[in-house]
Amino acid sequence: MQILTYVLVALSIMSGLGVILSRSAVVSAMSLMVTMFLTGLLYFSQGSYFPAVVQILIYAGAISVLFIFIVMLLDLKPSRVLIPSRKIVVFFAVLAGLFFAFSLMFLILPGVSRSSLVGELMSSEGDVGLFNAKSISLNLLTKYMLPFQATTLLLLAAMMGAILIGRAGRKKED
Amino acid sequence: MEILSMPLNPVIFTFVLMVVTLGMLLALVPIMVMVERRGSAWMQRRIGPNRVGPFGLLQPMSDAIKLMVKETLLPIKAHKTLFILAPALAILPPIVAFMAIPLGGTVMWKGAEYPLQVLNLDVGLLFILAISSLHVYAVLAAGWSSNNKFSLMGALRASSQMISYEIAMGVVVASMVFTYGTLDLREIVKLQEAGGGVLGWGALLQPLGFIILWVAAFAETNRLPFDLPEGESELVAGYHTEYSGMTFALFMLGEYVAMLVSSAYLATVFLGGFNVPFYSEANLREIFVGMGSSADFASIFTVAIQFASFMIKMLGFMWVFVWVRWTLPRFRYDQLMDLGWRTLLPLGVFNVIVTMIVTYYLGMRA
Amino acid sequence: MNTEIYIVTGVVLFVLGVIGFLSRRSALIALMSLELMLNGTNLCLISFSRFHGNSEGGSLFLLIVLVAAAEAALALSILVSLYRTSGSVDLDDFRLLKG
Repeated sequence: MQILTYVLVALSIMSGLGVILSRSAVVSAMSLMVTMFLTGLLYFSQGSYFPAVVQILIYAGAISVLFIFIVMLLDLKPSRVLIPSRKIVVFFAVLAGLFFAFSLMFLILPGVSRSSLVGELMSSEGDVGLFNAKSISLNLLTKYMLPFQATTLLLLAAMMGAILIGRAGRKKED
Repeated sequence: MEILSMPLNPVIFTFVLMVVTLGMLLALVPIMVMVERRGSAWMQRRIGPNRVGPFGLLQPMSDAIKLMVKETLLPIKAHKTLFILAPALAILPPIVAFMAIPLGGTVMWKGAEYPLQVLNLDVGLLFILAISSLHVYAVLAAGWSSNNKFSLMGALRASSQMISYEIAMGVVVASMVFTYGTLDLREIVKLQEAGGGVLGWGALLQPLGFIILWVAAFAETNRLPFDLPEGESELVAGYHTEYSGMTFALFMLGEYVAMLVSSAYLATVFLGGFNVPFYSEANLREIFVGMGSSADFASIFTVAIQFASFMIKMLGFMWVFVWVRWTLPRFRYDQLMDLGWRTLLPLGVFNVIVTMIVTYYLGMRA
Repeated sequence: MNTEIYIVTGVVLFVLGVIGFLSRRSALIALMSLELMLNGTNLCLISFSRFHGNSEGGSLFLLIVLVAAAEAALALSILVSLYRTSGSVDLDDFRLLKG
């Protein structure tokens, strides 16, 4: 099982690289879908079944389809990949790399990670029932009621906005 | 004989079950193709394929051999990776989705329990919906990578149709969650069994949801009357115009397995899945024990009968797929979108609201 | 099953998203990188939540996914209307303020 997890991790990082490195936007969008799906499988390998299913249903099944749809409709030319001459890009890439190195160090250094994190915390590895739909929705309907309601409003607004923007563009074309 | 007396390793059991399920799926597809061809001939007062083998029963074999030895063409301007990947993407999601369907009750063997289900997930109801939604990528990849306008048109039609009807499906699934209070397909089957006879079946609790999901299943699998993506008179063959030989066969297999998954899903959620009407699992076991078999063998016989019940339900839905295909004409595209967005979705939302109110008041009383 | 591997994957995906967002000129790919970043944070969130034996991460995950869906729908519709008016989705082409 451990090996399977490592394979999934390697594959998802590779497809993540595919998103940002490929010249054709369609290949980028397809690798985005693959990354989303593999992340869903990572949730499965963790035992978090409900997040896994939500990830596959919404991210891989709906959001990535939208991206691929738009890419196919727009008929884009292959774009240039990296622009190394920009100083700000280099700066932020270095910053991101430092952030990455910092988090890795935090996790891998034996003195830092195990003793301070594992200490008093309950480790729930292999606890399948942790993320069941019931506990998640109970949280949403009690503790996170306000954010939940705000998100539903946001979704409604986004839906109406998308329809309006699509309509406005069509009128201009006529 | 010593092996028989030992409890089986559950992992091995699951693996064997997986292989058997896969074989069953792949064997059902040619049978369904045969049923479809002979059935359509019967409906149209034709004779149908009756030359190969007795009563033409070997026709699917000869079809398969023909497709296998045919050359696989690769269009020069196609995007090669995606073009080759698309048929694999078409066949995998439906097969994985089928693995989460409960096929029968629990086998008891030497004190251990083996549920007849490959992927025994607590979120099976959503899992099948999620994995089936990945089918759309095969269509999109095939249509775009073929570099052919008919293919692209077919792919765009298919994907917008599949996404639209997925929303109606999702709404119905939400109302089913309200009804059953669980996402576990085994639990759902047990709850329907507890309703007594056919009275606990989802189709009677949620008739509107049943019809909406059934109609949406036709659109999801791109079958007539919703086979716009492959409309022969308009788009040659839609998204798989450029495919030949084995790659085309994989698309066909994917379509039929997707139909099997839809049928199995409908049978499980709405028609009590593997339960035998009026006989619960415990009842059946008692009957077999009363006939003189040991408890272990009684559970095996029970599971066999439950599996037969499940197959009858599933194949009934499959027959309706064939029946409708040769009865109804094709929809126009705007009619299809109208039906999805302006009829099924509002009806589904209405159904959810009614279900919410009813479950609320039932919960208050309990 | 150790938590570290999931956290590392999440961080790597996030960093890939940052790099893609900053270095690609196509607005579409910038958006995809944004989704990649959200994906990485989600993975970290779920893994940490699992590590703490607390199911609240799952609820927050659901909220993040919903916001991401809304964001993708809106951003893509804006992109389509941009493409209709200017015929390109290249971020460097939009320099209206520079005159």
